[in-house]
Amino acid sequence: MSKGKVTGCKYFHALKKQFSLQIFVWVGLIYLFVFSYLPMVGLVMGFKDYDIVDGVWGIFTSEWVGLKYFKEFVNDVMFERLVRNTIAISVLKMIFTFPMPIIFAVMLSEMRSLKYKKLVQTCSYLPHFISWVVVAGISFHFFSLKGIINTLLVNTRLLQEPISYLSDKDLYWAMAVFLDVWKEMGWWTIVFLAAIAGVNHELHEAAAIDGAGRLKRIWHITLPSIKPTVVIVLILAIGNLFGGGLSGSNFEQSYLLGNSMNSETSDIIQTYVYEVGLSQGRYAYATAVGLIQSVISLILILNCNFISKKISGSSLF
Amino acid sequence: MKKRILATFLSIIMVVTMGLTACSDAKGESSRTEDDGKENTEGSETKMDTLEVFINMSWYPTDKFEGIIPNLIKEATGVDLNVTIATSNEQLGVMISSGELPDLIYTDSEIDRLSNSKFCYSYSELEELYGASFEDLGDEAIAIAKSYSEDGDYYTVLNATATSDDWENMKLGAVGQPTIMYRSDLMDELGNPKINTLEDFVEVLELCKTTFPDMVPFGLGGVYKSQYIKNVMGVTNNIYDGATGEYYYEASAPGYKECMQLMNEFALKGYIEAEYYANENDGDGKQYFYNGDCVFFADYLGYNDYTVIRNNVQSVNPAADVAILPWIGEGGVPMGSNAGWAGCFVSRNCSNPEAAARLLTYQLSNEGRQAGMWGREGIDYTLGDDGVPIFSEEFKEVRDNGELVEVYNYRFSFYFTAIDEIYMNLSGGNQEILDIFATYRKGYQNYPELAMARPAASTDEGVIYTKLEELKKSYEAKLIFAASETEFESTYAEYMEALEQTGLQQYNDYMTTSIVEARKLLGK
Repeated sequence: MSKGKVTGCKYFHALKKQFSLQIFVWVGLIYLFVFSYLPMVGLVMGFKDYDIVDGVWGIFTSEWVGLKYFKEFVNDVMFERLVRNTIAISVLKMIFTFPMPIIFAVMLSEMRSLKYKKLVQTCSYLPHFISWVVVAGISFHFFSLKGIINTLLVNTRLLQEPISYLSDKDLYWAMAVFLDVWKEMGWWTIVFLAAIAGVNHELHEAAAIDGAGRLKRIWHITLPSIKPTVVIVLILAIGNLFGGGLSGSNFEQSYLLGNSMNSETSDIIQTYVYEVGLSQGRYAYATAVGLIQSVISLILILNCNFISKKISGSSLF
Repeated sequence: MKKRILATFLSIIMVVTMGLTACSDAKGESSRTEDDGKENTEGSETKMDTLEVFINMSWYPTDKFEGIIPNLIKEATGVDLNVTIATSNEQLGVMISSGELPDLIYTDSEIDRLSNSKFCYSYSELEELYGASFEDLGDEAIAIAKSYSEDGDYYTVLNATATSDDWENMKLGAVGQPTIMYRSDLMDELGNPKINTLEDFVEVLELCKTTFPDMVPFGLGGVYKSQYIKNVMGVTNNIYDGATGEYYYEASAPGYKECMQLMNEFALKGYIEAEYYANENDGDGKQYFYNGDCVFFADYLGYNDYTVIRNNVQSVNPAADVAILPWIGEGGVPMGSNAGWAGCFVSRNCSNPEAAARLLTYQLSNEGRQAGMWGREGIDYTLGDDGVPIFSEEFKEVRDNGELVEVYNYRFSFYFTAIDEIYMNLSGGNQEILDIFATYRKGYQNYPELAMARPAASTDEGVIYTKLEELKKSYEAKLIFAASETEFESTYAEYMEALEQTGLQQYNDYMTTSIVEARKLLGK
C-alpha cells in the first residue's frame, strides 16, 4: 500500500465531507476563470497585427508583430503625459484617499452619541451609491464659473474673479482627489469600523485604568488592532493603484471631467486605451498599452505584498 | 432523515413548478405568435416589414420613424423602422467587434470599416440578389462610396454630395459651413455697428465686453469653436492647391499661427472663455447662448439650425432675437471637401434584406430622395421650372417655427443631395436671410477628392491622422488660452515638434499622392 494512495483517499474523503462548501468555492473559481482568466488569452492580440474584420479567430491567425505596438506607445508624443498623469493621480489618491477612511472610522468609533454617529456614517457613505456620471453633473453645478461655489466665494468677497475649476489644468488633480474622497471615504469607513468593532474592549478599559488618554488608546490599541485589515486593504488598493486605488475611479473621472482645456493633466492610460481601442478600433494597440499598465500593477502588488510580509507579517499570499 | 425527505420533496415541487411555468410561457408565446400570424394574414394589405436601424449619431434629433415623410416612405416601400440612437461614439465600434450589428446602420463614422463584405451587403449584391435598383444614382456618388472599400464595390452611398455642376447651378443658399450667430437685439442696443471685416468683428467684441460685462462676447462652446475665424483667415482642415496639387494639413498651412495668435488675443482680452471652450457637447454648448451668456456664438450655417437656435433663445428671453453673421472674409469662402457625410449600410445580420433593398431603392431614386426632403409633391411642394421646389404655406410655417423634424421628420431620408437639403431649408424663405446665405457662396469650390483621399483608419496614415487630430484638440486649447506671448510661442514650438514627431510630413505626402488617385476615380 503506497503512502500516496492513502493521502489521495484521505483527500477525497475530506472533499466529500466538505461537498456543500466546495460548491461555493467552485462557483467562485469558475466565475474567475471565465471572466478573469479566459479573457487573458486575448492579450496575445497586443503582439499581433489584428484587425477587427478578421473576427475572433483572427486574434490567433493574424500576423505576429512582436513588440511593435509597445514600441509605438513608448515613442508616442502622448506617452510621457499619459504615464505622468496616471502615476500622479493614482499616487495622490493613495496618499489622500487611503488614510481618510481610517481616520474617519477612528473618529466615528470615538463618538459618544450613537444617533449622531449613525447619521454621520449614513450621510458619509451615501455618495458611494451615486454614479460618477451624476457626480460629474453635480460638480458642474457646484464648480462652474456661475456655479454655487464661485457665486458664494465672489459674493462674500473671498474671490475677486470666479475660478474655472473644471477647465483649469492646474486644478484637475486636486478636483479628482477631492471628489474621490467625498464619494468613497464613507464607504471604506464601514470596513475599518467593522475592524474597530472587533477590538477587545477590555484592552481599552485596562488602558484607561492605567491612565491612558483617548489619543494614546487610539494610537496604542485601536490602530495596532486594525493593522491587519489596513494592510490587506492597502495591498488591494495598491493592486488597483492605476485604476484609482480603493475607488477605482480614475477612468470615470478622467472621461467625465476631462476636456480639451485640462487634458494635459486629465489624460490617463485608461482613457487612452478606451479611445484608441473603441473609438479608433485599434484593438491590438490598445491591448498592448493596457498590458503595459497591467504588468506595472502586477509588479507593484507583488512588491507591496513582499514588503508587507517582511514588515508586519500580514500579506495577501 | 425527515429533514432530508422534506428537502427532497420541496426540491421536486420546485423543479416541477418551474417546468410547468416554462411550459405555460412557451404555450403562451406560441399562441401569441399564432395570433400575430392571423392578424398579419387578415391585414395583409397593410403588412409592414419592420427593420431595426441603428443611427450612429448621438445628437440625432428624433428616434421615431413617424411624421409626414416617414409615412410617405412606409407607404411607398412597405417598410417600417425601429430606431435606436447611439448613446456614445464608441457604441458602433463595440457592435462591429462583437458582430452584433442590426439590420441597418446609418452612420457618419466607421464607413471604411463597414464597407466590407464580412459585415455588410454591397449595394451591387442588393441589386443582384434582392432586386434593388439604383438607376438614378450619379457616377460620382458611387465613385466616392467605392473609395471607402478595398474590394472596389460600394456598401453605402453618402448623402449630401453634389457634383461641381450641381454647385454651379444651385439657385439659392450656400453649402453648410461654420458660421457665427449673434444676438441682434443686443446689436440694436449698440447701434448696429457694421461688421464687414474681421477687424470690425474684433472692434464689436471689445464693445460687447465693455457694454455687457456680465456676458461673454464670443461663446465657443460646442462643436464649431474657432472654425469660422479660421475659415475667414483662410485656414481650413484641408488646404489643397488645385494648381500644384499640393496638400497641407491644417496646422502646417500658412496663416495657421496668425490665426491662433488672434484667438489667443481674444482670450487675453476676455472675449472668449476657457470653460465655454472646454465644453464639447453641442447641446450644452448651445445652452450658453440660449441662456443669454454670450453675444456671439459659433455655430453651423443652416436654416434649420438658425430657427431652432432663435426659438430656443426666445423661449428663455422673448425680447431677444438672433441673426446670422454674413461672410466677412476678404477672399471667397474656403474650398469644400464635400463628399457626403453619412450613409446607410445593410448588415449581414439583416433579418430581411429584400425589405432593405426595397427601402434603399426608393430612397436612392429621384422620387424618393426628393420626397425624403421635401414631402408630398403637389401638397407640400411643387417643382418650379428652375428645379427649385416651391413649398406650401403650411410647410414654410412649420419650417419657420423650427418644427420640421417634429412634423415632417426629414431625418429618415438616408440619401439626398446637398442641394436638396439647401432648397428644403431656404426655398421661399426670408429674403434677408437668403442674402446672408448668398455671401457664403462667394468663390465656393468643392473638391470631393480631398475626402476620398483620406486614409482608412486602420492604415499607418490613418493612425497618423487620428493622432494629429488628437494633438490639435489638445494643443489648440493650450495655444488659444496661453497666458502670455512667451507661453504661446513655446506651446506653438512644442506643438509643431509634436506634429513632426507624429508624422505630419508623411501624412501630407500621402494625401498629395492619394488625391491624384482619387481624381482619377472621379474622372478628373
